[in-house]
Amino acid sequence: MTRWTWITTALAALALAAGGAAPLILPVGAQPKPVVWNLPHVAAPTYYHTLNLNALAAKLKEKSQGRMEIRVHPASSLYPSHEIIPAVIEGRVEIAPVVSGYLTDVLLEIGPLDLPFMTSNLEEHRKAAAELRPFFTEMLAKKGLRLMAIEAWPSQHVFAHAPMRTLADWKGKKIRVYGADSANSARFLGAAPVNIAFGEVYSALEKKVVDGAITSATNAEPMKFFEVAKFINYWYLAGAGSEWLVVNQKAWDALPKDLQQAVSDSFKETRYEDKEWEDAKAWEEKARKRLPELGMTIVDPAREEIEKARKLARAGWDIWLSRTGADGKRGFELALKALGR
Amino acid sequence: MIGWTSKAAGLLAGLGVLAMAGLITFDVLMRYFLDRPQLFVDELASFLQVFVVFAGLAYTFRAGGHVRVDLVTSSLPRPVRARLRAVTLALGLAFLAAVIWVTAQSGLSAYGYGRVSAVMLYPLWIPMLLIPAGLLLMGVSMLAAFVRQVRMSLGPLEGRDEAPPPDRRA
Repeated sequence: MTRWTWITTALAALALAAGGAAPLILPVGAQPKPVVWNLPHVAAPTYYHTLNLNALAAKLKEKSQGRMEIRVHPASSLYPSHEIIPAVIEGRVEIAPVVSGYLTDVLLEIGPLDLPFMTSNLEEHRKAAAELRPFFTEMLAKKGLRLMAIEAWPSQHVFAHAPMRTLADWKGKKIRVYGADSANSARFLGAAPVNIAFGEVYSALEKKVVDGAITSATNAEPMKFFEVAKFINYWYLAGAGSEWLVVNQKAWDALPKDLQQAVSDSFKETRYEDKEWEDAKAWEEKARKRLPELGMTIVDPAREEIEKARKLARAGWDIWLSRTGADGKRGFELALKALGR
Repeated sequence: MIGWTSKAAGLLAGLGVLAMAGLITFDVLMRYFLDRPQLFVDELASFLQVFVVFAGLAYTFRAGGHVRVDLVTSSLPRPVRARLRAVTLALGLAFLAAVIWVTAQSGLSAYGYGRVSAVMLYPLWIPMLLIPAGLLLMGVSMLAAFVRQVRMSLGPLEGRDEAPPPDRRA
């Protein structure tokens, strides 16, 4: 090796070492890096969940004077929907929603209110959820999660090519479902369940792969379901879909006390939980008004028909109970008591 | 041994494609003509897709079938090309080791939590562990290729070049 090669190599090594050490030396007066919490979500960027989370993140940045940030990753952009719950339990993210629609294994026992036909509307669901808060807190804590807020997705109905006024109208229809519980319900009501991912519902309705699809009425306009289904049948398969905003307990414990206080204050000052329930209701009402303007026909089945459906769907509750053990049974009994049944 | 195992996995991956096609056809026919959609098909086909991709990795590697860009390397002198190939194989092995570790952890954690699929409640650890298994087989094939490449790079000058893939078809 020539002398110049040695000098060049030594200079390169020096430059690399200096570059590597640079982050360790803070200039005088420089701010330390803020604490960053990542928050994955399934909701679209314009959906109320994301808007409220962004407002919470902005408030926290203000309250902590830039020392802490929550980065919201909407539309499953950080983790696919089913991966969000394990991600927050394992601490891969610090804060995340536990969405009832994705409760298939871990934490399944916290979903008694989300069983098909268990609740009839948002108000009833909210009241019962508030009563079950200690139960939810306990179950989540067992998995190392700290409950921050209980919120909701709007009620679940059936988009379809034909009106479904009575239980008999379900018979033989191919209905899009999104999980084991909704598949069981569709089956018990006489329909043939078809598992279709949310993103493929439009084309499935358009190509008549299915006769109908269970989802929220609030999706009619943003997902353009009104273009491919002319009827929306208000069966209230779920009065609401629960969502629990949780923080990984280890991430919480790692925060200095003043930042813990800033997080708690941000929730209070944004009225986060109340705003979520208010928005769920407002979005549901807005969707109902908007549907006829979009050319859709709203079908309201008679109360007796919904009651008949509820009775049939109860067989699905037993399947859920057989999978959730003693905790599930306790939650189920608490739910029935909260609902006065 | 590596060649035999890779070929067997590749063959199974091919059969997996056939099985997927058969299952999906069965579902479509049942749904279209008899109004009886088969719920299990969607999830089973997804698992098979994972199997097809990862079981075929090692076989494809040994056949030289993975995408490569040789715009630069094809114009390099053969001995330089030989050493560069050894370096890229070593980098590939390091990358594979990291991915195998992460995906194996993920599969084991799915087993620990008892995670199941959304509708049919099939255990998820099975398809999840197919990923590190397929990658491991490819890693072993790549390690053999690396050893072969290092020997060739350090051998007689006239023989120094990229080692051809062992199962390349004429």
